Amino acid sequence: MSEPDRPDDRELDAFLERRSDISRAYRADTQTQTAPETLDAGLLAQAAQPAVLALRARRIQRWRVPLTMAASLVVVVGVLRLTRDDAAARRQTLAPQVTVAAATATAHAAPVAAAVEAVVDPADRTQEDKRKDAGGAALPSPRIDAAKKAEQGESRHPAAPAEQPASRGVLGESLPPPPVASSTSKLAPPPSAAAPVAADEAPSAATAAARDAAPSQGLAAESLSKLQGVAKRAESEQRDNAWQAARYQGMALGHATLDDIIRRWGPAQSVDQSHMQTPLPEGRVARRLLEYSSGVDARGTVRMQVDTNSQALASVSVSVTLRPALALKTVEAQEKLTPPATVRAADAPLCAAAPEPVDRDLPYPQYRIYPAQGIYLLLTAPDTVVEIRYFDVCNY
Amino acid sequence: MMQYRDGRLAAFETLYRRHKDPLYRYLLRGCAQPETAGELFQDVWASLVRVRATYEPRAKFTTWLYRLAHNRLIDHLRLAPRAPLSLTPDDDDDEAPPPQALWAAEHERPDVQAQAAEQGLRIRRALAQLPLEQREAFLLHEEGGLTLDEIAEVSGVGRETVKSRLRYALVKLREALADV
Repeated sequence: MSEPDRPDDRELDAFLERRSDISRAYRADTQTQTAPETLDAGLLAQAAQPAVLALRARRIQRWRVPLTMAASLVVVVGVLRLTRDDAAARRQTLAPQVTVAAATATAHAAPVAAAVEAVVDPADRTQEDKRKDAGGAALPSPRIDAAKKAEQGESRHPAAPAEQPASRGVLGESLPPPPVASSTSKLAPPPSAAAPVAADEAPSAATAAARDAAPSQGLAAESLSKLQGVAKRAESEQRDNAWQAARYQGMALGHATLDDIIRRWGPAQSVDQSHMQTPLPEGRVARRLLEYSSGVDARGTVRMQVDTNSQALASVSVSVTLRPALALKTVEAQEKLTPPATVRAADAPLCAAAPEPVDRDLPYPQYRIYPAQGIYLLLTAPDTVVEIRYFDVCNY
Repeated sequence: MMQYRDGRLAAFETLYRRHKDPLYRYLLRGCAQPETAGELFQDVWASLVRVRATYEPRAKFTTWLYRLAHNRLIDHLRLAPRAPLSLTPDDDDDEAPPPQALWAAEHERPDVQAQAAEQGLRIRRALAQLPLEQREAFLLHEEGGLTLDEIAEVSGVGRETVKSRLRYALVKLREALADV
């Protein structure tokens, strides 16, 4: 049999430009031939679940930057605190040699430290007061710098505040002076004091304030974090307590094992160890997915997740293949589903706190949740159930 | 597709609505059995869902989608060699009609739907008698709207090979539709 004659490229070009008679005839014939609509619901439902996961990942991504910034801030505050403590110790040793320039540079930090002190824990302040009450002589304090500088300044500027003579007397005997004042504000010199004295006092105040405030701030952040953790655990426990493990065809999820499944329904028609489309619960290892496209449930394809470690049946999902899809009332009657039910949009995380009440007008597809039966329904329309899910616990 | 990868279900629906009919026809003409075409159709979309996380826009989405479909179709034909599909271009009896499933879906069969156009029937018959490679090249262009280069990429052959296949396909279709 000989090959037909090769056409010239003009016919091919016309075909590629969709202006050949053959193209027109083909398109005219196929316009009415479309994909069966019965496949739409199932495929859209199948696509919905990964979309939920991706959305969840994106939400986590959204918080990454703020969390990173907060963590960085905590680190910076800690480092700043250490640095200031070191600087204070050095200043204690080298006080007479402190230059005016260094004091001025440190003074820039004073407003920040003063602001921080506004939130100082009263308990910390009390500790500081106690230390002062103990005499303060035994403990080196940066505030001594201020007193020393004040004395040096006074020798040049006789117009000194009333408290200073006492300090001067103590210093004259080479003993640490008593605290000039009990709060930072009282450390500030009067307007008549010389500028160098003010510059020296500012770092002292800043150092003391930072030393007082930084531990309080760290403690506050730590406490807040702990409180949030406790609240989250309590919320999770409350949710788990409300959730009753589902039963599927008499099998108790969380108790029935892989052996039970195989004994009852035989080997799965498809086994996938790496199936990750269904969300995995936190803290659990990957699960084995067993698929039964027939012979288990007349309503559709059944997929079972078995915990790889415990071999316990963790979830069952029935993808409804019946056409038309099941009505909500039918499923509720079949599964004996009782209120209270809640709803959740298909793009919201499963089992998250505070689901919406049923009367909320949420878009479709959506989940309808029955905690008392441990069941989720996936609806693509008000009365179209395309998937029924049974869970042992609600931490997916 | 990028939007769907990032979790927007509505983006998937848009893609699905846009491509489902041409893709289904491509598979139906490829395997010639409506039930099998339905299964392959679901498999292709399921593959798309499964690999969405690793999707990178290295090629036009349509090209990527039809490559998935092409691979699935070829896998099916390899695993089901006894499928009632004529893959040889040189049937001994050119006048013998191919199995009905080759040229029409169940609901489109002329004995079910008497109004089916004769022209449509003839082109479907002629198409069904084409070798798979030629038929695929024709369908990838007609249904997928792919260019020569894109068809070559999907089929894993050279551009000139695709041109050659299309030339032969057009000659045979022209002969079958001489009076079109």
